[in-house]
Amino acid sequence: MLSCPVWQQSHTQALTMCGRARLIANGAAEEDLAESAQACILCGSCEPLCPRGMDTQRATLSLRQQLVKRGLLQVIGTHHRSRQTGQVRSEALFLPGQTLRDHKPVLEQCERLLGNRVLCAADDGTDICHDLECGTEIDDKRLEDFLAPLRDAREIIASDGMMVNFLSTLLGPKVRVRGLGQALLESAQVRRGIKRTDLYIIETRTFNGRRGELVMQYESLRQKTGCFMNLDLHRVATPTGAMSAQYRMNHQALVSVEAQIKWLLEGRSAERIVVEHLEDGAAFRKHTSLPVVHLAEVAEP
Amino acid sequence: MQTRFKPQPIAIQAPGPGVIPPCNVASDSLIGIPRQQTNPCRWQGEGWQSFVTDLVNRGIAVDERRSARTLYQSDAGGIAHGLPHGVVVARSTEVVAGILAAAQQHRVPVTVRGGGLTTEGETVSFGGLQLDMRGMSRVLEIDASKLTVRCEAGIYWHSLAESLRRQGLDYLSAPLNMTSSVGGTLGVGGIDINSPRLGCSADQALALTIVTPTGEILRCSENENPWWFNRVLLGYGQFGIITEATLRIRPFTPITMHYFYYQDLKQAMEDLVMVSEEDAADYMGILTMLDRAVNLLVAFDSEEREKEFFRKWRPRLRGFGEARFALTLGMHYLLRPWKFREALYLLNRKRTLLPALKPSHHLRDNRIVDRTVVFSQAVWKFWGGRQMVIPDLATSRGKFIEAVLRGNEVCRKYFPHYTLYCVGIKLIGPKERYELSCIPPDAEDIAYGCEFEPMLEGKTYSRDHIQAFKNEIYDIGVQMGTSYYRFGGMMKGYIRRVFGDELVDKHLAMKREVDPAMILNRDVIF
Repeated sequence: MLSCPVWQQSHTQALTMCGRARLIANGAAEEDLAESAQACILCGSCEPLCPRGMDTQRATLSLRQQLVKRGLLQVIGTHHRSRQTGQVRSEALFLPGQTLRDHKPVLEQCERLLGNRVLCAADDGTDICHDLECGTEIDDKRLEDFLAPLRDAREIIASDGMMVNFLSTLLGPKVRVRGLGQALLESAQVRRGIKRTDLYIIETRTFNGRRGELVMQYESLRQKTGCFMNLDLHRVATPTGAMSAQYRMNHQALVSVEAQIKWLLEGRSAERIVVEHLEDGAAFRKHTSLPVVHLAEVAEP
Repeated sequence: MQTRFKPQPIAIQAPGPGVIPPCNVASDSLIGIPRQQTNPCRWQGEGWQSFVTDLVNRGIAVDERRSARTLYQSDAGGIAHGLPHGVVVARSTEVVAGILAAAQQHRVPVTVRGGGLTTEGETVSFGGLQLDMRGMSRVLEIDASKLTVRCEAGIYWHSLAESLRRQGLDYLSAPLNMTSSVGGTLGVGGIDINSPRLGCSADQALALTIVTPTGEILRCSENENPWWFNRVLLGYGQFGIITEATLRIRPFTPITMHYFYYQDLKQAMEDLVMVSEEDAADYMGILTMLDRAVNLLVAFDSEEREKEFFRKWRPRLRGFGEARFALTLGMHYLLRPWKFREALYLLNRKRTLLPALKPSHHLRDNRIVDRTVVFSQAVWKFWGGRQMVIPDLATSRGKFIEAVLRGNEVCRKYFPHYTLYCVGIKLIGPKERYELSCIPPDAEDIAYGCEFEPMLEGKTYSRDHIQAFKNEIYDIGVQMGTSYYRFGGMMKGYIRRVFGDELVDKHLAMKREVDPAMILNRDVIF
């Protein structure tokens, strides 16, 4: 609860994961959980701190699904199906997502840094992630079509944290699924480009879902470069909220992205924002006058 | 001839605002037995509806949904259970004032809650209104030049630390628990491992904004309304609700930590007393794993202090470093193979606990950053659980060792594994502040405390077992004339026994004067 943005902005326990867990344990009716399930932005910040070790993101997703099925939760919005221009099969696949595809120079820079062995997938499954996040049912055929080429891969890099967590669960340990930030940081060119006065915004869904595995990578980057990061004292990544379906679909949201950004900048004399995900970058551009760059763009030659 | 009872269905309707729903005990469950309240003094819901209407007229909405109320049904102790009739999340001092004024008028009890980390049901409502202070969690002003912070009282210490750290600052001392609130802590004391130097958390307060039980808003400090200031600090929520606090703070420093190991609890305690009274370290305390494995931890904010400690005080400590202790203990168990389970327990504890106290992502140049996070997470992981069972004793220096040794015997009788956490508390406030508090009346300069924490290890112990254990620890306090960190709620029966009638009656008279309807945190102390 301590790192939960819903808690920090509302200070209403019932709206947090901790509150939901207690309400369920106390026998609350499903309708009593709807407001809380809807408020969550699925940033995963409760997961590393959960004293019971719950998979909190999965718990909230399945609660949403249940509530939508029973008509107790309004679906946030529908997402158009991802374009599919034939399947790409490779040992290493990159799922950049629609936002990155819309920023071609950044996408090309990402591809350059990831190397030739990583091929860009034709289908990002953005619609699947959206459905998953909103609790709507995913069509089995659509899911199978999406997963088929991924099953042949040994490594998948996805820029969407929800996709990273989803694929890790579905594909099992045989396929190594990573976030884009994680993969780009393997490049010394990228690491060298991060400056002491940067505020580095980690993509929270991937990081918080795998904090145990990733925390040292980011902590040592922070120590080496001296940059600011969106990590709190627990070393949990604080979200901007811009990745949530509520924000993307312009739906009424309890977590104000502007307030999150204000908090992220408070007391930090950052001169540039470096983001792992372009949606975080867009939110910073909207609410600050600081220059914003994608991680791939900081790479030094 | 006996008439056969025919159960009548009860029409249960959703109650309107302020309406107490019908009793949900089935009508046929007490055939022929009139329902009787065993405590006729307990509030029975009188005036609730007019109270809620009054609050609504003042623009304060009361959440009477069952789902909202059940969130507050117990506290960290998990033994006391009760339900409020309604809940308000406080959002401003004025709202709190309005609530208390109305509660006083309608004689409705108000139970205040922050993090809910009480263990004896002190923050659990048995009817009435639950006032959740966590809605007031803002940091209002940080003055880096004067080293003070003004914040709302519902804020967690951890959240306060997040704000302070952005400016390279830190609070002085706070409980090693992430969800303690500032207001709740100031109301009971608050102990940290730097309390032997800096005193309890309550002594960090420079000024407070409080709401009296009759709904008056007051600013108080040592110079302004000092009576209220010293009654509300360590006052167990009896004399007012803290809504804002101005606290002393300090520059943030990472710390270096050292552990010394003892096979003898008494020796470790004597050394703790020595280190505390000689001001030899910046942080100090005892954590036990077994009677044979006692850990004295000391830590330092600066290299100079650390060097001075090793030059001047380390030679006087009887504890071993880790390697020598492991060797000594290894020999001990080698000669006593039938105690292999004990050895395995210790090995496992060492394997899991020690790395948790030094996580690499919280280390920089071998110094621990964010010590409160590190310790609090360890406390959660290794001592947390569904129930916090931590009876304690707070004593003067003269009684400390005997009290802890006796408490240790009680622990051994009830549980296979337990931890003692001992720490000193520097007395830096005026004596009158400490009356009827966790500071024992006979303590001078530094008081000492010990928490006796059984490791429940996922086992289920009966409520009777846990209660009997706690009573036996508390009995030591009565016999020796000590005090307790926690003595309210279900343990309030001990208050007169340990503090005596004269002092308790004096405070009761004060309470009656400022809280005529006795609505604020009823049944916690009085």
